[in-house]
Amino acid sequence: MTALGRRRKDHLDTLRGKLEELEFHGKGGFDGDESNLVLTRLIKQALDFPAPEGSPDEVAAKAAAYRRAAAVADEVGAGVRAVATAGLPATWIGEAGSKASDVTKAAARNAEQMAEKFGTAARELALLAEGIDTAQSKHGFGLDALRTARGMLPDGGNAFFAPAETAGRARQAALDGLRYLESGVTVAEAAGERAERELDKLTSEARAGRLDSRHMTDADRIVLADAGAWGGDRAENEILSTGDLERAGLRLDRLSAGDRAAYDKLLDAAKSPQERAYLMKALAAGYPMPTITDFARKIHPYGDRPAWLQQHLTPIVTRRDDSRVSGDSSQTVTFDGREWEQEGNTCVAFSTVTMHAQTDPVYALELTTGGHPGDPEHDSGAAFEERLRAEESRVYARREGDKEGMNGAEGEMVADEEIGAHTGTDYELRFVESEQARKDALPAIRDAVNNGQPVPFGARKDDQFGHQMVVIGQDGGKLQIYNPWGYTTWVSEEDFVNGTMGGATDGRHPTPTDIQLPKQKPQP
Amino acid sequence: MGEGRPGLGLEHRPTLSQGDRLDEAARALDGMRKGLGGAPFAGLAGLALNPFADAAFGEYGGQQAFTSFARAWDEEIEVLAGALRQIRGKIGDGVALNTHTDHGVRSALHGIGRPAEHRR
Repeated sequence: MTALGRRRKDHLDTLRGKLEELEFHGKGGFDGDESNLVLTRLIKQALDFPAPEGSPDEVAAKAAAYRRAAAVADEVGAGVRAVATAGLPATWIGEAGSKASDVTKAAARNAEQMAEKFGTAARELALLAEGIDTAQSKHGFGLDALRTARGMLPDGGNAFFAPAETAGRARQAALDGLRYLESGVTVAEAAGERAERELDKLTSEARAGRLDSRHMTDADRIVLADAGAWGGDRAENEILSTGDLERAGLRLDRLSAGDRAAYDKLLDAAKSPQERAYLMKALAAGYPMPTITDFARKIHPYGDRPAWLQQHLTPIVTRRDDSRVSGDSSQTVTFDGREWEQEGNTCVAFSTVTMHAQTDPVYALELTTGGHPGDPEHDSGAAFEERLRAEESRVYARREGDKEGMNGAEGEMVADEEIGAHTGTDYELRFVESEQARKDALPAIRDAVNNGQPVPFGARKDDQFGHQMVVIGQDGGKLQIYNPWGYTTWVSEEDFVNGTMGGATDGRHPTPTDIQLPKQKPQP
Repeated sequence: MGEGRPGLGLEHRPTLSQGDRLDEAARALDGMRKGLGGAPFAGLAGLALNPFADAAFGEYGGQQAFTSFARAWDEEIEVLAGALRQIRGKIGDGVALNTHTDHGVRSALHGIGRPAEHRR
């Protein structure tokens, strides 16, 4: 429930309570009753209750406009796809030709995505129009009932003289009216909340425009925003999150001329859009040029091997065979056969390490290769496991003393140090022990993961020892969860709110009790 | 490209060159922007106008969400149209450069991934 919805329903509850408390004793004639005047005032207050805002016709017209735009985008996509499929003139074959071809393919995909998203927007706007229309109708029925109630009583001060039976009937009609008004609030709120959730998700999927830098052309924006990690649907595994795109754009504009020239050389030499995107992600993560240059040198031999890049630089991908069924823990997170899985009571530390790697490719490369890509002494599952345990211990050692596990405040500290430092965010611990608190937190959780900012949270059963997991995505009323037991899974938002998301942990930790919410820091 | 027109005909005009197809696609995107309420306001820099803000979408989150959505996708349409025009520009260069060496072509086309123009 929204704060506004809660206020409105509280107001209606108050009116209902006052109406129900009234006792009528009037016998008619000159034997009047003060309660009748109170009843009149309460009916007037109910009649002044604000109607659900919005124009169903205007929203429906927007829905139609986006439906038409979806058809146009679909044709644009087909036209550009035809250009890409036919290939570019033969003289374009070579390094530059390959880049032009990348742009054309990315543009075709962008238009196709646009068609799909506008179709979804049209559907959601039509639902919103219908919701507002229904809510306003219910409000209208409520006003009709309230006017009927008012009409049962003599005008003005003469209501004082109404007999108890008449006043009772008027109260009943007024209570019926209040029920309709409340129903109007409920419907309008549900429609608005759904529209907000779905439109916010669609907003986060308009990505190319987020890369706002005077050093980038529109073609660059399209290609970089399109680059996806290997192993899953491109649209669900973008290398650069929307937050990365924004930070990379700002950092590009702030590079010195010398650094800019050096960075341009790295981009020019990149063998694939994916390699370029990882270079941009390293920039977004806040590293200085010498570090980025070293990173570029190490990944460049594998720049045209998307599978290698994903395995070494993006631990978690949403694979095509992900069932998204609650309780399915088959989506293991692995590197060279070793799972990204905690050892001991280190859920906070370990999930933080994994999220650091997921958001920072320089750190991920160090973990997976030890800085020696291709060298089997270092670039192997066994060597990775050794480094992973060392990192798990390093972060775990940030707790106070040698107690078992880490508390919420320590979780916040390491989230800031390991994740926030590279995503430009400051984590804040928020307790969400009630259903309402969890529901209130949902929009901020969705916003964060839509921007590529993971949201760690603690969950438990009763007063038992808790477990930290991380929300890493959301889609259609479901949350994607990374469990440091070595896998990703999905839970419904409803289960998250109700504290019944046991499917993520074999039933052991069903109730979220605290979350680490990232807040965007001003760019230094 | 007018609103409500059933098709662009891009698929049905096999004689179009690649460049022509890209031109038409970019123009279609311009028309789409106008139809959605974006483009006509694009040149009014400095005016605090937001063509996507009105009070039609209700008070429970729909209004703000729609405004953000419409702005973000208006920018996306603009970027996509710009990218298509950049590719089109390079295709024109490519035709003119047919007799050059591969090295010369590569140099001439280098700007596809570099900022030849600044939109903002």
